[in-house]
Amino acid sequence: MNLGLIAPLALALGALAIGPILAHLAQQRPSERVPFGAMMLLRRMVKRLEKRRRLKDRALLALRVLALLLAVLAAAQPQLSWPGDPATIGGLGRVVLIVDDSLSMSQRDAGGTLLTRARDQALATLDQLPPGTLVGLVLIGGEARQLTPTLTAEIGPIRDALVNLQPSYGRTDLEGGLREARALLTGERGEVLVYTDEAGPTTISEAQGELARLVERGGVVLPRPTRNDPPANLTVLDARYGDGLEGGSVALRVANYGAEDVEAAVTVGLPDGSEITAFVELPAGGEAEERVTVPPTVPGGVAWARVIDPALEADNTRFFHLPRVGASRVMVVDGDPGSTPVRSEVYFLERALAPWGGARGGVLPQVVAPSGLAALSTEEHQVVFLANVADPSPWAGQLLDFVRGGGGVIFSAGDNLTAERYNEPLRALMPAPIERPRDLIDLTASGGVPLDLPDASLELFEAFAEEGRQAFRRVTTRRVMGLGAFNETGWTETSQDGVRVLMRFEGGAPALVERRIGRGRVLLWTSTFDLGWGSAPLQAVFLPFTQRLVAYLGGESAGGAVRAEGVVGEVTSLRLPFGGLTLRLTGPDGADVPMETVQGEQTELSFLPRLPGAYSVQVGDEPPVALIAVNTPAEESDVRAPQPLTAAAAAIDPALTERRVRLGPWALGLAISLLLAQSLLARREAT
Amino acid sequence: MILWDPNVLARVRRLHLLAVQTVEGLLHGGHKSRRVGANVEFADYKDYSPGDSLRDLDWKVLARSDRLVVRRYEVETELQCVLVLDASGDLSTGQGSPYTMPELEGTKFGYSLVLTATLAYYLIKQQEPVGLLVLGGSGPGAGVYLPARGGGTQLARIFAQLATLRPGGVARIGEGLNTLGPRLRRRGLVALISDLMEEPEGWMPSLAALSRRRTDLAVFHVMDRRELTLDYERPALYFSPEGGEALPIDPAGAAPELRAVLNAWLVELRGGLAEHRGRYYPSWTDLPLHAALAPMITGRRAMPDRDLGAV
Repeated sequence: MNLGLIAPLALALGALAIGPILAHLAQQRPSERVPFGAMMLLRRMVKRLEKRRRLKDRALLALRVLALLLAVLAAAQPQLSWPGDPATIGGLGRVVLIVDDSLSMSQRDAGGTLLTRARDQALATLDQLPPGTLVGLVLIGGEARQLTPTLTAEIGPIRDALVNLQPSYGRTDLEGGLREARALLTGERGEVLVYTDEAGPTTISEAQGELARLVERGGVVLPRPTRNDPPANLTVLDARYGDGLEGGSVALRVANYGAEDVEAAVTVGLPDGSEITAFVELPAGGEAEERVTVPPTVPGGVAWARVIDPALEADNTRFFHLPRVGASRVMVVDGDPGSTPVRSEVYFLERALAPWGGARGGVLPQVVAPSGLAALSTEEHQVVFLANVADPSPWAGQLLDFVRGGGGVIFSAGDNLTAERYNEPLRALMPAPIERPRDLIDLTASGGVPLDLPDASLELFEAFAEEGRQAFRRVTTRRVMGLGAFNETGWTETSQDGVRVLMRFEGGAPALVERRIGRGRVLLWTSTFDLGWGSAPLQAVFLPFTQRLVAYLGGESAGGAVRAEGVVGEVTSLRLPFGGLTLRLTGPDGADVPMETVQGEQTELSFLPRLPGAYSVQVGDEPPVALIAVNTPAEESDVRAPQPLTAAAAAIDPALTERRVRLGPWALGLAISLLLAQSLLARREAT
Repeated sequence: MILWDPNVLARVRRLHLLAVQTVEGLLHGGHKSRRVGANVEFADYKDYSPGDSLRDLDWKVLARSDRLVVRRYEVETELQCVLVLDASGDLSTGQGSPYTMPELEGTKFGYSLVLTATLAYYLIKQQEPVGLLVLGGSGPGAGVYLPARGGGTQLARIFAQLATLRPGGVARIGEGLNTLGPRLRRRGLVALISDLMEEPEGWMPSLAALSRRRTDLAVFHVMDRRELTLDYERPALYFSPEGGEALPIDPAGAAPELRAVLNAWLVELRGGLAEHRGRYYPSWTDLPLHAALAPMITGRRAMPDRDLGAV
């Protein structure tokens, strides 16, 4: 509440107050003198009146000075203003109700939720509108939307819409709501009542531009804050699995937006159905981090972290991607058992895959002879190394199924590989046709042709830092397997599988070629994994590179579903590495979700999630080709209101959100009353 | 001699006229004198001393006891009356008295003079010795004390003093009454004619002392109705002719307060006089003298005070 003066200079007239003070002090005495024979009685009377008279004198002085000061104040035209609404809603004939049905409005209060409170207030406002008022309704949860195409005098449908109002999981689109209100008013003056909890650190600031435009066009914005005081909410801001093949931990970041310190239980739910609970101490208005260790082997998928908080349950759970964790079963097919370790690919691969002997989890290599491929199973294995295998053709069908089902196969070259036993029998599998070994330099010479620097933007090499890339330069080779013609769409014209060279030797010879088949991949290493053709096994980068190959083919990004994240109420897009297939998007509630796709060599998919949870994209009944973890908007969880809408509106035009009363007439009236009072008192003055 | 001043003579004549008219009016209709006269009412004996009248010698006692005793009668216990007149400056005010004296028209003092003269005339006519004590005043009669005597000469002397008297100065009633005590050798009557505008604690003790001497006390309280009801039109500075600070008074506002003060004062006066066996005679200047004198002369009750509430 503010008190202002329209004509403050008039206060200078306050100096006139000295006049009555001096006059009062002077106490003008009557000039006429009358002889009086009963002065003894008068003196008695005066003595009796003296005390009362002294009080009266002071009261008179106070009344006169106060009257004059009030008159001066009236001349200065004081004005009292305080935040408030117009006396009557609907006075402009047009009213737009903006109701916030965002996630944060699901906060519980004594009588239900903030949304029910806002809804009841809006209904009450409807009942109080003057007959004939044109009304519109806009909801701002997720994406602002008009529920009435135009302003209407029929309140019934609006009432029904309010009664049936359900909370959403979306963010507060106040900016859009004000825009919709402006559109409904079509440039006419009208009142816009906003029922919102004003939650979110940027909700109000983002809407200020639209607020200003609405006010410029004659809109009178009347905020109707609906908040819990004090605010209280807990939420999981972030959940992220720590990288690593040997299992790891989920890092949790939990926030407390309430005004009190709390200790909360946070539960992590894994794709296999197991749950792990931890307790987190959360300071008032602060955050805390906690790590939850997951078991050594966990299937990949969408996991969740949930904090128990009854204040606002809708944002308690955060969904996140969990890669396949734990012991990857790798089959190593020894096609050329060597007489010495340096002549054996398996020797080096075994040590690179399981440097701790498999005792602490991680990769568990299973070394088999080529006949062992008969036991290949997607249930048991993720990756198969075929090291210099002479004839894998008997198991070509098994290998193809294995790859299509999401498995990974690596062929490494050697003297045993022949075009006859590979190209035709494994035509559907091989990234490129092989021809015959080709010497890059003289085999009797020392050294060899080094690898080019790998492209760090490729997923396979993302894990290697700049220095790590340089380590590949130490890998040299003297001989590689010659490859036939192939292109990016495969080495056959009919194939639509993607083929690409991931790494080359200096001079351009392909070192590693990839082919995608179904949900899996096939890699062809054109050199050997022993020291026969090159020095790869002796280089430091060999061990992490081998580990990375396994992760790439059978770990978090190999063969499995495409991973994406989304936010409720916001369009989520993802790209699938194939095209031409009929896809189905399933929401967390099991229902099909509408989506838009652009089919080509790849598929662009987009949809608008309405619920938080795990979404999956499937082709028929096959396992998901994409998994999307959708969460509620984080800003909705911050239920504090850093900048009230009332203040924002007042900053634009204080007159819109202020009620004013001119105190001048009141001050003048009071001054006159005081003057009358003092004259009456003076008349009673005896002496 | 001032008695030969024609103005004084005129005043004496007017005083006499007013006194005669008043007294005769009061006694008309067969009222007997309270005084029984010289006829005999035995009182007691006393030893003969040279100079005593031989007529009063009790011969029978002489024959029986051979002693010379003189018979004493009631006539010898005559009432010695002293009229104490307040001539202070405060009595120069007032406008209600119909008893006008030249230069004293309507004033309380004019009324007091006539009242005093009437009392003197009445008492002389009743064969009582009458004296006069003037408190305050100005002129030849100021502060005069005339011992009590009877007869026309004494009356003329009193009238002459009254005719030359003018109000002025301060009465100091208490001091005046104190001087009167030693002068009254016998039981007597002291009649105080005054507006009593002095604080009672200043003179009431003196009155009490006279009362203890078995002196008969009568107080004629001279009051001007306009003054005591503050019947004035405009606010003004009111001052006492006796001096002192002037007070700015708005009559309209002060009248109710003054009325309360007046009532309290009258109650105080009456209470004090009753305690000392004094008789109180309210003497409003706007009423005929009969109203003040009748209760004393005829024994009737005093008229109730008019328009002064419970007093």
